[in-house]
Amino acid sequence: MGKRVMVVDDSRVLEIMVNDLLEDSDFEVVAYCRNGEEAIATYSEVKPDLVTMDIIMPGLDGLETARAIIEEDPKARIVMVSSLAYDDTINEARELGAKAFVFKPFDRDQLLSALEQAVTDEV
Amino acid sequence: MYDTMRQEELRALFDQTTREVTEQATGIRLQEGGEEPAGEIYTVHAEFERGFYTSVSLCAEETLFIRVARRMMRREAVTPEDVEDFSKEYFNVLCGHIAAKMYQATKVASRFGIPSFYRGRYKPGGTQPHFVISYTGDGNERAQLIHHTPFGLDMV
Repeated sequence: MGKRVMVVDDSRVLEIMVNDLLEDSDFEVVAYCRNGEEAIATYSEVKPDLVTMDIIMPGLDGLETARAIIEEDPKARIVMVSSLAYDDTINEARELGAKAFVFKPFDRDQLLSALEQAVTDEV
Repeated sequence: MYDTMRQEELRALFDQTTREVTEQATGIRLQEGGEEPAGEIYTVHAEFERGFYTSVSLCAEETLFIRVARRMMRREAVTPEDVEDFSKEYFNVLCGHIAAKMYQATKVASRFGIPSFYRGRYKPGGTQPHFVISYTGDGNERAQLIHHTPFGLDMV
């Protein structure tokens, strides 16, 4: 069985794209959340192996949501997915415990590489 | 930010980023120049909310947005909902890269709001166009990227 991935993004586009890119890989999407509040609630129910987290979302943003999930489960493996590719965002994500960062637009290899990095990273 | 970047530098940054991101995200090549978009037109728009307070919109012919959705979904059959959602996601990526380039140039960290999609032309209230960059796509579609600034804001 593949690694179970929870996708957090306010746009259904990411769900479609990630599902498509992860086809025939060792990862499968098991949950999809459209905002931070839903992601925090769903994480404790689903207990995914990995979370992909958008940064810009209505309500709680991706950084705030990742922080809340990691406080609840320090072993959470979160991959930040964003087009906001500048230093203070990357540093902030790393400081709060995100395992990897993938920048939009991304292809299958870039996504798989980030997910594999997050899986193998020491907790 | 407005003290550190002149209009021509800002324009060049927006132009280069738009062409690069569009090709990377969709495979569509944009060339600067051409007429105003005509016929069925859509607009995607986003406001920068932190760091600097301007907004950006991309007004283009429907055919360009349909191609954006087709390329990003990697299938020919797309619905109006797909066109709207994938156009917003494409513009979200573009604005993120613009914010990143702005950060590299000015060290001012900015954020932008979730893009909105409009049928027809959209002009945000209380603003004036600071500059307009016209494009022609490799499928002959016409588009304009518009940087809006608040009325009364003196730009360099």
